[in-house]
Amino acid sequence: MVVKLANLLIRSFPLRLSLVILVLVSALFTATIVGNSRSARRYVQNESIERAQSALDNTILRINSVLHSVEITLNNLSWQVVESLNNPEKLYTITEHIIQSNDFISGSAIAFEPYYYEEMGRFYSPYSYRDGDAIRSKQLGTESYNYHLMDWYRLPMQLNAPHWSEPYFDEGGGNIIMTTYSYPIYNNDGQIIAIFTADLSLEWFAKMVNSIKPYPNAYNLMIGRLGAYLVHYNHDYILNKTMFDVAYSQGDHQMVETAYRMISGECGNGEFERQGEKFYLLYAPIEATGWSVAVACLHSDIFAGVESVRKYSYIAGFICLLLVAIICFLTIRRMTRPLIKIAGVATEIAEGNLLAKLPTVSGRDEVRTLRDSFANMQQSLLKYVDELQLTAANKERIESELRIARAIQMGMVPKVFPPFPERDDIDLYSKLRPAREVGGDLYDFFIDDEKLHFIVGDVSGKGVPASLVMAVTCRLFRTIAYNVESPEGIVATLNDALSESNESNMFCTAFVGILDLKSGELRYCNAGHNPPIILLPNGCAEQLCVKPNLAMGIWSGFKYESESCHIENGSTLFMYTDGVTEAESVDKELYGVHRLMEFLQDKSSNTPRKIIDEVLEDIAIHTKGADQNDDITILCCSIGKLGNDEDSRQIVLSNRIEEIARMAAFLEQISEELNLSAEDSFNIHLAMEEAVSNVIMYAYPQDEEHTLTITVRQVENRLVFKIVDSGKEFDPTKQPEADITLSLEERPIGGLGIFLIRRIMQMVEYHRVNGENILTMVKVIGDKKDGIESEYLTQ
Amino acid sequence: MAENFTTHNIYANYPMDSLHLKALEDDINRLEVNLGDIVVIDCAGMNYICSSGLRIFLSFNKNITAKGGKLIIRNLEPLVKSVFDMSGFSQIFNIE
Repeated sequence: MVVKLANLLIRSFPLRLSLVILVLVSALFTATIVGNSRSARRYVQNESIERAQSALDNTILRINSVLHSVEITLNNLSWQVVESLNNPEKLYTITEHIIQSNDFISGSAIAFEPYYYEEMGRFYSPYSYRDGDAIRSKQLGTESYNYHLMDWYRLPMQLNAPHWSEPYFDEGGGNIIMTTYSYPIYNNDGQIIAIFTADLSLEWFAKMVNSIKPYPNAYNLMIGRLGAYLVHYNHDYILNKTMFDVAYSQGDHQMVETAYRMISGECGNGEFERQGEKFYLLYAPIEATGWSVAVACLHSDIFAGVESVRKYSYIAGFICLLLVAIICFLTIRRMTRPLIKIAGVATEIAEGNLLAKLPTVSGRDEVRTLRDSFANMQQSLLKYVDELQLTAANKERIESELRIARAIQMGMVPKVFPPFPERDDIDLYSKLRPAREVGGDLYDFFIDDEKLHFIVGDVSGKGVPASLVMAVTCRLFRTIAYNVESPEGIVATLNDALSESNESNMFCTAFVGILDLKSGELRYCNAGHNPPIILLPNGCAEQLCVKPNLAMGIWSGFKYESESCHIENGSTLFMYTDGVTEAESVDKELYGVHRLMEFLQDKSSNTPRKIIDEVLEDIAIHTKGADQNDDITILCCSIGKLGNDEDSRQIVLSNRIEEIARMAAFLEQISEELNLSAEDSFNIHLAMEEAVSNVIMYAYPQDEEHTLTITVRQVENRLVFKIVDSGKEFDPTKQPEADITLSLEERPIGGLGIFLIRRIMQMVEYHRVNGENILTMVKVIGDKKDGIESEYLTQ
Repeated sequence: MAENFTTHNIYANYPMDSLHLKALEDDINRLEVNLGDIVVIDCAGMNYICSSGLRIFLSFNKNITAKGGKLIIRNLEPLVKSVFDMSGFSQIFNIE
């Protein structure tokens, strides 16, 4: 439950904010109420004390005035007593008169000393008292009522001064609780001869005191000089118990102290508890008698108003707070609801639904700003995504076109290496590496009539424009070179063709050569291209001496001059484009002809492929990973007898089927020497048997004795098999191949031989040269069928 | 299998090159295959086969099948099996 609530609080902003506001407001509210109620309490307390006090003061004043009137009455009539001493009976009229003259006086006596009147005996005290409305008189003193021993008589006598007695129950007198004012009467000698008294009923006092009623539950009390209760709501207490008795019996020390203060005539207030109720006591003395009057007010009475106000304040406050909290929660929730919706839409947008509808916000506050920002963002996103899609589509299209263009361009230059595996007098390798997808470099070569025609060229610029001119140049070279005998003729024709309608002034540098493979004579024409480097058999690398002439495509009709030289057997021609020498390092330093020449020293014994790979590696070291800034093309061609004689094996077979056994033995020996795998060995045997048995069975008439020659030569990781016979022209590569997908019934018996040869050998080529059938087959050792393909695909 | 059907066994335990084709052809020609017969050629020891060998197998298989018989080839060496695979024979022969 608690966890659930905590979760709710964490997740709900309105709830949290409402709670914070609620806590803050209730803290403020409580502080205000408490402060208010304190001051109200204080105010009420002061007010009530004042009210009670004034009631009390008023009562005391009235009591005092009554007491004073009694005293005055007696004082004023005392002379009549003295004058009437001679006539004892007349004294009754005085006492009666006293009662008549003062309504408060319930009885009055003139009590004489013993035997003052001899004839009257020991006691003589005329006494008048009220009996209902009538006033009656009697002689008070008897043996049973010895007034000489009573306080009201004895104390003024001893004090020699007027005196108010402590209240007492007068038996025989008024038969009521009363207090008596005693006024001594002196003779001429200054001796006290009688005590003149006036009685005041205590009931009257009680009535007086009980009239103080500041609160409904307040009660009053009066205590005498020694603390005896004179007025109390409990009548049994009156004259029977003192305030001390009650205080001690309840262990209420505060009350004891208050009682002391009261009997010592002090004015003041105090508190005490009675039956769990707190009382507030106000007291004041009656100085004439030494009594003390007090009014006890119930605390709850005094503060009833304050308490009820406080209670109502709390209830009202609680309801207000609840309302505030609910309103806060609802308002904040209403204001934040768009936020939640916006958040939901944002999530939707993030998930890809860019058209998600934003909620409408009516206000102009921050939420509205946020919503508008979101709307803007959505619009921008939509636009951006559209643009991006378009751009991506365009880019994809261009890239795809460029990929195709690259494939087309790569398809335009010879890419099968070795290009002349059947020849042992020439090894050629070349590499074209455009700086971008397509480039302007070109090379081409072919052997026609034992003459190697070749071109290495570089179209100005890079990229697509250069590649278009490159394509044109390449195709033109093939066409022209087959028909034009001389290199300068080829170049001149190319130049004229390129110059024609050359709107964009593209030009092409090129080196074109025709190498007579029989004589070793090289005729060449340079059209503004880098001079080739020739690697001599002794290891020296030299630049070929060339006339620069002019790049093609600039000047139609330019007279190109050709040169010629003799290429020694074992030499290697190294032709390249300026992408090689101008390869830049990250420090903008060029690779340079000098470094290239240095590098090519002593490399003439390497195969062209190895030379090119190493040069490219050296360029990579030089550029240190910098972007290739120009197309790189290298054409490298070794001339002369390739490989050592030990690498080349030959066997001559006659055209009898039994000779197959000799061929098998011959191949087995080679397999052993070259340490071929069982699979390679098996497959070579199979392919060779197919090819050789074909020759034996079909090349010659059965009854004639003829021969055929098998040559096996290893060039790097490949074996080149050459089968030469002088039989009738027969091209096995033209024979129909078996369709291996046919069912048993449909399968023709023939066509399996050439099929197997093609499956086993990576290259099969047939030439009819000088009345001889030459079948050349190349097997890459230790590789699957796609060995050669993967090699040229990396270009 | 019904009892009146015959199972013929041929053991071709020699390299099937141009020189040894005759032996297999002779073995095959000696057989008289009837409806429901089974011919088993056990090739254990045949470490080589040329296309002519394949041709003999193919025409023999066609022959037997036409007569309602069945040709089963057993114990092909791995390299010879690869030639069968290469030429698509594995799909049209019963090889065990």
